[in-house]
Amino acid sequence: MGRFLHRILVALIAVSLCGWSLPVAAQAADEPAVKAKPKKHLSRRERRARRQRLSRELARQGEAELRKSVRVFQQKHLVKAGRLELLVGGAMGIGDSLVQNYNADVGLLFHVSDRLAVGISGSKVFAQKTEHFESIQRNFGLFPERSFVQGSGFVEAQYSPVFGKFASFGLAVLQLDGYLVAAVGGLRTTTTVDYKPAFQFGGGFRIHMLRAVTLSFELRDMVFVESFLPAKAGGDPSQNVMQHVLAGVKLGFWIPPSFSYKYQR
Amino acid sequence: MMHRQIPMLARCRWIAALVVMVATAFVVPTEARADEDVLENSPVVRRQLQYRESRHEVSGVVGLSLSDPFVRNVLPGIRYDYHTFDWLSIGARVLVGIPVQTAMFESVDEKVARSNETFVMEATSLRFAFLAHTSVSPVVGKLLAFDSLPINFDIHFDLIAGVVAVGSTGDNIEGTGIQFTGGAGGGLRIFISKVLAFTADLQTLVIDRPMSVNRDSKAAGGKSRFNGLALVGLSFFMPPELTRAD
Repeated sequence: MGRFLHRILVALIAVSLCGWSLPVAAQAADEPAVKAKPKKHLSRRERRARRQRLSRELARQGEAELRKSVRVFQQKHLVKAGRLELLVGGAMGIGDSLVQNYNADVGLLFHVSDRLAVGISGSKVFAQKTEHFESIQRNFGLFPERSFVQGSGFVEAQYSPVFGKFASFGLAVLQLDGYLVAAVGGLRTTTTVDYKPAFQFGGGFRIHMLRAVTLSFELRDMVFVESFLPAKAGGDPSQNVMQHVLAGVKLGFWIPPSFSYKYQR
Repeated sequence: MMHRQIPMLARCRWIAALVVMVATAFVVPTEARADEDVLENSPVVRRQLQYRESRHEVSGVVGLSLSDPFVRNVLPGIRYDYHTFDWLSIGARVLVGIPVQTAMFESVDEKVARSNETFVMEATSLRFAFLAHTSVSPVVGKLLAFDSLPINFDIHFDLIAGVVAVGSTGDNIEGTGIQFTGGAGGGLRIFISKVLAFTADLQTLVIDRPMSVNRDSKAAGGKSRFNGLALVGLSFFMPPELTRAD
């Protein structure tokens, strides 16, 4: 009896073992058969070549990751902050029908930052009558009162909200900034010897040619109040708001001529 | 003798070390330089977006005549350009002149009439202009405004030819009518998107016209003059897609 029970117990254990083991074997049969590679013995040269290939692959992957995470910013060609700009140039009036102005300008700007600058400027004005002025005298016998600006001086502030670069036919790339300008000062005209308060506002572009030399193109509107002779004897002189739109070109010489970047390339 | 052999050996080692260093200096820096100079001989501008090439540009423009003493012209109009290359376009424009009398016109009218009661001030202005042009854009660039707004721009120069009609505010000036004209100009085009751009131009046309009558109400004599115009406009570009240069 004991032997019989022992045989049944052994048979149960054997069946249980088959139940656990057979499905595992079936699952393994579903998977692609993986042939165990015979272990190849690599020579020293082959091992080195394999290492180099893996290193190159890792380097390539690393550089690709780096390119994804690194952004390249071009350095400004000209750092303006903390430097003086000595300006020399000229301007001519546009849109005046009776008077043509030609200005010789000098100025000195201190650039508080790359965006903001304050300074002074002065102009000697060479004004002359236009052909229309002469024709009014000739054709109508009228003599328009002259108001020629002789000279002016201003305290001005510049703000540069725009920076950029341009190319010409792909030959070279130059950087530039665009600025707005506002100025307060005085001027003298041919009507009286007094200095009259005047204002200027306008804008321009500064081309960064060299790190010590720039070239600016600008448009300014100069506004002031002029007193003309009274229309009738004993009357009050008429007050007219005068406007002179000036298109100018200026060379800027930067002091000190060199600078160092905060962050190296 | 031994004292003489040791320095010889040492000298040989120094020479060998020097040879290795020179060889290294020739080999290693060459590779390093090659890494640094990857952009050497490459074009200054690469893969540039072509905002103009093979595109049509239609602009609504408004012009204002400059330096007209008696009648100032306001000139609304339309301009068309086909940009054969990114730097070259051909096109045409039509401008219609709206005369606006200046304070000088009224002042002359009033003051001359005091001595000549029959005097009526007259002056000429442009009535319309139909002009063909070719335009070159030698300067092309991009800007960043307020650190956030990217802007593309170009500076272009125009060569202009066409016909204009000169009109008068009265009937006493002869020599008005249609005539040929030529001129030149230039300006700035600022792209605010792929299809929209602001334009600002200055141009001058040579037009033979008398400016006004004289105090005897007769034409004061015609003369070829530079007629300056300032124009601003809004341009639409088609097709909306941009191409890239190589």
